[in-house]
Amino acid sequence: MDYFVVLLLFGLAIGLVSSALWISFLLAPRNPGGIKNEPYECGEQTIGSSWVHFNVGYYLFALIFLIFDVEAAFLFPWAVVFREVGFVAFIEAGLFILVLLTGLAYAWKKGVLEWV
Amino acid sequence: MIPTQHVLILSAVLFTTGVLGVMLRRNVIVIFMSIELMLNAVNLSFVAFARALDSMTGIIFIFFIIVVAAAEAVVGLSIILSIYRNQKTLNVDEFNWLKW
Amino acid sequence: MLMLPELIVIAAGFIILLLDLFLAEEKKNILGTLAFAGLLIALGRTLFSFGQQGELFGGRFVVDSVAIWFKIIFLLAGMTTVALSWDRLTGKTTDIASRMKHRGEFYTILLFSTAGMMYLISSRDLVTLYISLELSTIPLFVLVAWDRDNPLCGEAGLKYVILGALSSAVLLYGLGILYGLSGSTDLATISQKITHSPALWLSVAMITAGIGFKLTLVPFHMWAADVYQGAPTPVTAHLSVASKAAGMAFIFLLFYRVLGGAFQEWNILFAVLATITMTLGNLVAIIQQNIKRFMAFSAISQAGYLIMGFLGPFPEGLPSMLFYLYAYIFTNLVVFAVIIFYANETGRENIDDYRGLSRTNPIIAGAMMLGLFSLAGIPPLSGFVGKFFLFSVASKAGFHWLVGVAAINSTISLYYYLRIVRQMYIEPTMEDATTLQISPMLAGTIAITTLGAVFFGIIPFFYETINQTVAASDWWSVITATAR
Repeated sequence: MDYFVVLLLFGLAIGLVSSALWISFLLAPRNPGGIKNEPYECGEQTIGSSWVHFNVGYYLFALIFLIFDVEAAFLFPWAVVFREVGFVAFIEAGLFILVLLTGLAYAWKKGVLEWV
Repeated sequence: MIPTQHVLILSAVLFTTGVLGVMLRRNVIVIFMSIELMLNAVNLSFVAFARALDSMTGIIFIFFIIVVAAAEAVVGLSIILSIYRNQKTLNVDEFNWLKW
Repeated sequence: MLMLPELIVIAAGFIILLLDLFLAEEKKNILGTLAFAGLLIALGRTLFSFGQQGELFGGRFVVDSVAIWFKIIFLLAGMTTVALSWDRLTGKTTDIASRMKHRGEFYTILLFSTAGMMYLISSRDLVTLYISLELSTIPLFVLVAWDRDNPLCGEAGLKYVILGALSSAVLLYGLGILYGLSGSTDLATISQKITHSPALWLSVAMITAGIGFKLTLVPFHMWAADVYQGAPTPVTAHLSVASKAAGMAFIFLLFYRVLGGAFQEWNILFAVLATITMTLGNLVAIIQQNIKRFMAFSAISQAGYLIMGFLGPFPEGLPSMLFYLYAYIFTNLVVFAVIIFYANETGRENIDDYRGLSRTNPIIAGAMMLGLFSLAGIPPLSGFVGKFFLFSVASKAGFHWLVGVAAINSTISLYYYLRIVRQMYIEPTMEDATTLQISPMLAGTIAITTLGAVFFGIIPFFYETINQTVAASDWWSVITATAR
């Protein structure tokens, strides 16, 4: 009996989606054309190949993001037990953030954060 | 409750997949993804052990492994990027200037 | 205060990084001085703490005499690398192609790597052990790929980073099994709780494979030649010395201190590894043409001798291994200093290019000859004395066949080391050869390392000191406790 609700939901989901597709099939005007087969259709004709190389700036941002993103994971456990661990841990976390800030200052000064 | 052995077997399978990926694939980026897969397989085994032993140390170890993996990935990707700027290729078979 | 040397090194690294951002290009010579001074102060502090023992963070960071001896090696290697790279980073070399850029970052990364190695030998916990190993290795990936316009350098960096990451993942899996078997990451607890099981053997095999990469033991050595050849030569010198010592430190902590007392079955594993490592390294070194590749295979065979120190009845092996490590770093750095000097002035790196060096620069050729003879193990140089102690360890452990193999290998190695001596002393001088000017920095490095390579063997004081301080430290009690 417990799983009857799940079954009901399953059937309902399938019915809803297929009926939506079916109604759209019945009602929508059919007007095929080349533009509609483009991967990103937004009314404009695409120009050139989609295999272009991305600007190298994206990679630099991605690499810096990767480091800071992962380091932030260390701050969450500290934040959870912030009251219990006290002032020493606060100083330690401050040192940790200071090290990260040094890295950020380095990247900033080297012009990595400028969008070229 | 999933038995610990099953998790460990999954971890071993993932690890082996990673090793095979490093050995067989020719694209440097894919090789790096395989290495990340290996590290995550190790993480999985740490989770399994930590749960079986009911100890938090394994979980803490994972935090550090994740950070090390990120650092390794950043250094590796930077080296790949600087090579790509010079050579315009990412196929390891073409990196063969050093020979004896 | 126990951690002061490490903190000094790290602080120096950060100061250099920040100063590099704000200093004008012509004032950047001070960065090298700062790096050298930071390492020197840390070395002084380390020497000052001899005889002290203590622990921090609930026993996760321990200083004892073994740790201090290793830290001195790492600091000396770091200082020599700063000295060896000085001319290349300041742009004073005659050969333009061997100049290196970005000196602030170079020193920072070098100092961080050194700090990682220093933390490594003081760690008593799998977590800190792994983190400090990675802190010492990841900067080396960057250093190897330093010259990014040079395709050889990039290729060397790529090979190093892929194989390095692979080996560290394998090592980590081994550590994971160790944690699963013992339920603890504390090395002392592991050494008490660990028992024989197939899983332990799997773990040991994976750890050996992972650390064998750093030590260039033979089945895991294939990166060494390519990386040594492609990397900038001062970095190659650093790799051949510091990275190897870090590997020794790791293997010492895990096999000697944790697993060693309870089980001596690893002996046969290390004996076999030592045999194939020294034999293959020697045989392949014979046919090399590039001197950096040649030194790579020489370093591989030396690693084979080094791990003989892990054989056998426990207290004797460690001082012999430490002594040989010291002899090896001094000797190897003499040879690398001459290689760097010659490449700086002429840009040449082949063994044939050294012909007639004894006529143009007799003193430097003499230093090179002493270094090569010491590597080959000719008495009374330090290399001979070190090998003598190591061979006696193997012999005491009952591995007489291994001593025979090692002796034959030493003879083979004499042959190929003499190839370079022959080029320098017997072959006719090169047509365009003139007396080359040596910079004061390199001259000083060659002088100091040569003195070390010669006198370390002659004066018995060094071995005696190592032996006494190591015996006095209580590292032995851990093993005896577990052996019971």
